Amino acid sequence: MTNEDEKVKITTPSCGCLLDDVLKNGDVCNADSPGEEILVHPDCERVSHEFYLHHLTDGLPIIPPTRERVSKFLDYSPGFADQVVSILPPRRGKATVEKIAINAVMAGCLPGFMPVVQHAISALGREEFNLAGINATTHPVAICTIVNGPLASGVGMNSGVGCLGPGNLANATIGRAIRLCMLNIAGAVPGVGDHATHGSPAKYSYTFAEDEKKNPWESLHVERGFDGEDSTVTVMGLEAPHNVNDHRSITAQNLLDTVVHTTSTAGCNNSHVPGEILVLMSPEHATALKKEGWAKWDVQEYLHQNMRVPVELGDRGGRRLDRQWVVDGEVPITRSPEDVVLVVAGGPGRHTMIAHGFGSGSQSVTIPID
Amino acid sequence: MKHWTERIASDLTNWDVEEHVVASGTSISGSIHIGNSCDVFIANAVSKSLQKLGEKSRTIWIADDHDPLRKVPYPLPDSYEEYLGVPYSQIPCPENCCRNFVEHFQKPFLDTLPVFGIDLETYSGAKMYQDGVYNDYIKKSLERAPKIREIFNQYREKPLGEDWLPYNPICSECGRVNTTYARDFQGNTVQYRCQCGHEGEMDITSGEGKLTWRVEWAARWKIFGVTCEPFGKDHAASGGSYDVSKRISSEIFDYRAPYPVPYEWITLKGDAMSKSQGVFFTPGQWLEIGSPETLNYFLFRSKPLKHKDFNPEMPFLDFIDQYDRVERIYYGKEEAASQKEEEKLRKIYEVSQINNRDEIPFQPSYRFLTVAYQINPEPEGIYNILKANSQLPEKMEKLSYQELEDDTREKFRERLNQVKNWLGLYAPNFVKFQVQQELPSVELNPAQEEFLVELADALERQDFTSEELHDQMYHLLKEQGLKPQKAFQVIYRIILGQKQGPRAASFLLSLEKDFLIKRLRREA
Amino acid sequence: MSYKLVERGVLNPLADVEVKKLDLNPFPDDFERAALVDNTKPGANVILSTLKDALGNRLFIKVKKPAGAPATPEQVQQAASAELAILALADCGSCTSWVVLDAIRLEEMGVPTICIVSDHFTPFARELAINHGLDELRFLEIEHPIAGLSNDDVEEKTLKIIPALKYLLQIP
Repeated sequence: MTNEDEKVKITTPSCGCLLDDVLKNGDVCNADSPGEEILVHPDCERVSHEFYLHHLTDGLPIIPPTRERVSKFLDYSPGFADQVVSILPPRRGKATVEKIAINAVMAGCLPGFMPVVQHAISALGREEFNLAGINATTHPVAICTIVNGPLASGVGMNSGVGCLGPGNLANATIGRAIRLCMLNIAGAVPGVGDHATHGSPAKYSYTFAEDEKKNPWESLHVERGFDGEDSTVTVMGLEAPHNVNDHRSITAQNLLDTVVHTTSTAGCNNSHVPGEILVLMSPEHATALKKEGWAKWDVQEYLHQNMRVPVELGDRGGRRLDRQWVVDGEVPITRSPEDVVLVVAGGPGRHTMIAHGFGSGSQSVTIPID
Repeated sequence: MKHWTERIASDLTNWDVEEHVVASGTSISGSIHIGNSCDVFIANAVSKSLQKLGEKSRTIWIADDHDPLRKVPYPLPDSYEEYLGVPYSQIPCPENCCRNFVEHFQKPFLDTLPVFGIDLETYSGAKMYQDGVYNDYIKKSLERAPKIREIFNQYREKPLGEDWLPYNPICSECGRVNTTYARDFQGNTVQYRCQCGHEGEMDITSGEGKLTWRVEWAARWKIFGVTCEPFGKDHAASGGSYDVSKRISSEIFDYRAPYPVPYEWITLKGDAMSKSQGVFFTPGQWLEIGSPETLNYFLFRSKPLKHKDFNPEMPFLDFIDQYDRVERIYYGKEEAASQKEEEKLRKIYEVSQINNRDEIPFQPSYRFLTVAYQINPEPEGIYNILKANSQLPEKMEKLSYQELEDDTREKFRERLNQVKNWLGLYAPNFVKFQVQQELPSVELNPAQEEFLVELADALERQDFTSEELHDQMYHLLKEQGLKPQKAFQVIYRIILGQKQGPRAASFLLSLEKDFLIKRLRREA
Repeated sequence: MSYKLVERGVLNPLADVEVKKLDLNPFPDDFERAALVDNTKPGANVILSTLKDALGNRLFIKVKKPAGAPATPEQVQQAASAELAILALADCGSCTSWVVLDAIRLEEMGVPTICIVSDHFTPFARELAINHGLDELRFLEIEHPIAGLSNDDVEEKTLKIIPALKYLLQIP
């Protein structure tokens, strides 16, 4: 994609011509060598627009992925450039280290973010995640990426106020890089391979780090069997988050009931194919619960037991609900307490974000970043 | 797995009827050929399958002999054009041998059916009208003409006239039935005008006119209680005759349309069969060159909508070879390529049979017989040629012709007769030859002469099988430095008086030994 | 001396596709056992039941599988015990993906398949089939939408595809 049309005469100290002289007098020095090439970075605006016209972007401007920029990213990856990290459906594109790096450059990532992006892509290729279903569905499920461990702060991720955006370079661009990989490698282009009826703002970027310091309980990656000092990336298929605003509850149970009420809705996939949900608690909410003696498991258990939707709302007779889920005329939102993915992040304020998942069709995946 | 005729029968067992009626019908517009007699064969097979499943079933055949002549069929003279538009039943026999045009073409067809094991109840469309069988249906159709028009119009680009009636009277002036337009009726009388200019009235109970085809077809279904009917695929087109008649049957006559079995046309050497152009092949013609089971096999070996092409020339030999192979597989004398193939072929063979047999019948190679017959047309002579060429089944190898069982000899003679007819009617020239009784005068070079003499000596010394003789001939011609083609040509020239002939080794073994040795030595 | 500015080239973010080529299994001449694979989408059961009625006297193996996720190995085995399989219904992104992908899994096991696909999703289904090496995977298009319709309406739409089904299966 080089543009050889632009040629500009410039001054060079070695032959003594000043630009002013050239412009005023038309004097040009007599050096013999024809056009020495000076490589310059391509124009962002122009390349961005060209990429957009070729359906290679998410609609926002991109950083042109020159060989030089991409090489810097490759330095941060243990694998070779053409090593295949994953095969991504629906197009069955080969996500090589290089292709991931190209999309990460475009997203505006810094080279140091490469391990997070690469591992997220690797996790997305796992069978249990069901990327084929997640990418193609009419449901607006996006890919949420949660980073745990020292690497999160190492790359400057935000786990505090505004962690879901906007404002943080790492959060924004890592999530964006993953989406660009979906578009360009997996072929999940709206209308072509991605049939989400309305799409979703969460499909621009949906990445944050857990606030392990302010988390009164064990962090997500420790709960899932990793060491505190390990760094991990978790990918989850989630709708855009919905807020649970609770400044009033005094007891833990009341607070959790507010969460229950907000999650137990008819319009989510969970109400007919129960599966995972994300409960992203602010430190204040989490601390309040811990103070009353609630362990993490107690919270998950309580939420699982109480998040229910009456069968008549979950199953309108069209698609037949699997009878195994129906208990006393109700359908649970989750299959088990483990389906309540309870994470702590955010700034001051008594808010919790909940996000419904794709349902039993997809399972979150946590892998270590090595 | 079921054969497709059995599958249709199996589906029909779900119908709640006391008796199944499988209908077929043929337009008597000329010679009835294997293409348009498919109905009958398929109907018969389905009916027999139903009976095997314990269902009551009968097969009926309705001659569309009341339809108007549309084209003069081959080989009738152009003078028959005066009958265009006239019902077939009212056209005279072209050779004055039958009562009328209909019988002339129908009789040869119906006469062959018993040979195929086909048992039909036959009906004449014209007679049905005359006997008043259609009367109630004609009346009902006239009364419900607006609804019939509405149904027809849904499948037409140009709507029918408001006064159109689903009935064509026969013009009392010109005798035509496809040029009349009925536009009004009172009671049993229909007013019409004809393209010949005549305007008149007709009594619908007179049996002279006829219902428009799609209504007539539906009426027949109810009249006979038809539950299944095969028909040519042109009726099966979307929005075509079957679709329309189905609606008429349901909405006008309150009768469930029969299970349809559309079938594809049969082409003859790649050309569409055409009675007017003389491109056809009748079941009677088939029986001249093949057994009735082989026609059944031809029709039943593939699904009805699969296109079939028939070529009675060289490809017919391949076809009979194929049939014989299937027969061997059925009786366990040969293995199929796979278990699936075996299952399929067994089913096809079974459905093609007319009588059950415990043992594989004598099946001398048809292809081989075309050569043997030309050497010696006598059954016993041919039998000996078969023996000399190891073409007999093991259990017959030691038997003489006279020692064969009667029905084996009968079957043998039947096949010989078919071969004889094939040679006479369809064999291309290059397969024909004649053994020259007199020695033809042929110029030979020394090598060729020596080759023939050596060959004669070898034959005199010992008996050969055809492989052994083949090897010996190659050995001898190499010794003489002759090219194989040239060597064989010499043999054919001195025996047949021409450059080509059948496979040399088995041909030589088929000839009478003394004659052959003398001829090779150019003594006689 | 003259100099020219040359823009650095940019790399292509599009990936190569992993290609494999598979063979489509032909339908048997006749079959006794057919699998009806229902992904529980609204209308799928009505479609399969209507198609079943048109196929006459045979043994039908009913298999249920998830809509937006792959069939379990047991469900695949059950379907593979038949001589052919009809899968319904592909009328959204993820269920189309999994109808097609499960059909391909069955084809890989030697079972010929037909997928019932809503006409809005046929192009996507075809792309998916091509990407997975089975360009000619057999689809029967049914008029969109199916979800939200009454059973009678779904049946009516299904009746329209029966001639095509019989043609594909060469019935009679």
